[in-house]
Amino acid sequence: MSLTARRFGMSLVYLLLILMVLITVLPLYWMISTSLKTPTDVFSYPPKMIPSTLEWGNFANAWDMAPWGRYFVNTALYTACTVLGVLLSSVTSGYAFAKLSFKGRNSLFLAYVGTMMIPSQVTIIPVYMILAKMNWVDTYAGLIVPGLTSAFGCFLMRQFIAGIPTEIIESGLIDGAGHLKILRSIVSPLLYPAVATLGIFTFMGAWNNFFWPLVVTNSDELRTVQIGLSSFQNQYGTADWGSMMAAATLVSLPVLVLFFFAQRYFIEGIAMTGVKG
Amino acid sequence: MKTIRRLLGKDAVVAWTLLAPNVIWTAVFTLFALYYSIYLSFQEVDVFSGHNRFLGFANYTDSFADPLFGKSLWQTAVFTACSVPLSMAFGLLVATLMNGRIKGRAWMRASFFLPSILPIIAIAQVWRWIYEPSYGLLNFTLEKLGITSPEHPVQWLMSTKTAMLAVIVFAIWKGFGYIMVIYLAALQGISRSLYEAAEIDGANPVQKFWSITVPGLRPATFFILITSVSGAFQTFGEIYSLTNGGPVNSTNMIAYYIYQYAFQFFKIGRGAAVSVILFLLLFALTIWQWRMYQRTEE
Repeated sequence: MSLTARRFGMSLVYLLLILMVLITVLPLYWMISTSLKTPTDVFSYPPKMIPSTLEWGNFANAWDMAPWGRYFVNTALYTACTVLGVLLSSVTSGYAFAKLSFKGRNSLFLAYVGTMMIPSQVTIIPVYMILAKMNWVDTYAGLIVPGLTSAFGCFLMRQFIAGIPTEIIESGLIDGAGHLKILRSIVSPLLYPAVATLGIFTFMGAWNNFFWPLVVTNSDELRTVQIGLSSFQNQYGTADWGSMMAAATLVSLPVLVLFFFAQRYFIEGIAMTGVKG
Repeated sequence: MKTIRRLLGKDAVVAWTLLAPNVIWTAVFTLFALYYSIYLSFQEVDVFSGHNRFLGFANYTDSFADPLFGKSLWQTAVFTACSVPLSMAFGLLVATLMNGRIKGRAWMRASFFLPSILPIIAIAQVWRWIYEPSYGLLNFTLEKLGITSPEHPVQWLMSTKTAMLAVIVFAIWKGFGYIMVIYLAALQGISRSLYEAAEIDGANPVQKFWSITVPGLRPATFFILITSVSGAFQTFGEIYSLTNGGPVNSTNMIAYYIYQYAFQFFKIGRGAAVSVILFLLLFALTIWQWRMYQRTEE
């Protein structure tokens, strides 16, 4: 290929990529820009891409229209407990599967990984019924407890810990340390990247989770931000797009901030599960 | 202690202690739940009194007799058959374009990935507005380009003819970035020397793509296919937030159907029966895909 043909080809690639990037981020841009528009800007036709003035009042309006403080506290509690539970149980179970010797280890691991194939749509009704029997429907316990362990998390940790040299663990045993101590003081510090990846995934999953809180909670006091946003939309419909988009922006903000600072872990984590898994 | 070690292995005690939470949770919330789901599917369940009545196969026969069940199953298949291959094609296209020496790749990759991390309720609201017939962005753009006329705006989510298409476009937009990331990682795992050898033999870019790239991506493709098909069959948030299954059930899909029966009409047994059918269907599909993969691998 000649140089000019190659240059032409590359410009075409860039053009295509930039066009696709613009289309991809447009809805997000539209959400944020509308959250800062005055009602006149919102309904102007042709649509206004850039707000003529920044109307921060939409955020105050949206905030006053629903108990968002409560929703955010609920979501923070649900997310924090889920992340903590999943990280702890995944590190301990991952360590057991990777480094401890006991009968039936490999077949148990395979079976456990196999349970990931059982769709959550199939277990959600019976889990709801189990919780109903325990009087846990519409409680924090019902919302939080079923999601405290994760087969995916265990799998990720097991793969990561298996890559840590066994000699490190053996030398710890020779020094007289038990497995719990070795896990706490020798192995855990080495797990930082894997813990970050799993922590971020779990955070995202819990913060964005919509289906489970929708099924298991009823009362306004227990709503998470996603359910709150959904009922907010149903209640106020399309009357006040500025406030509606302000609320949507607020609910998305934690995830966006996390993604902005920790995108490397997102991308690496997905690449890891996809290519090795 | 010694006998336990001899019978169950050297580290059995500490291992089972560390595994206990995962084992107990899976036993209750996955395995028992699966069994319980099957049990419930044969019952008429009164959620409020807690009394059950054995129905035999009635929940199953009622489902199969319900035209909406067939319709939602068919629509799930249509949705899957369109959204999965197209998302994969877009993901692969973008990954291939970005695989060379591209300036600003990290930013582009992040942008393409962005839709998949956004909360669906928040961003679906934006799309409902984009799809709005009279002042939405999409019709505005199409009219500016002269593709549609302002006298007959496309109704998108409000018409039985276009609602499914609109849902599929949304799902592709939301999902292709995730696929792209996996493909990009897999592309970088293909050895450069294979391409160099092919160049020496005089292969053109298209030949290189089909004879080196595509086979090199097979494991990633298989992984993406299995997870995407399973995900597409369980599509719920898209429907709940965009259309509520409408108009006239034209976007009702199996997961939404289950939700309606179990948690809106409180026919738990009926919902459980359909979820068991969904499970069997997905199980069979997965096995089938796996065998196809094995066969072509040989």
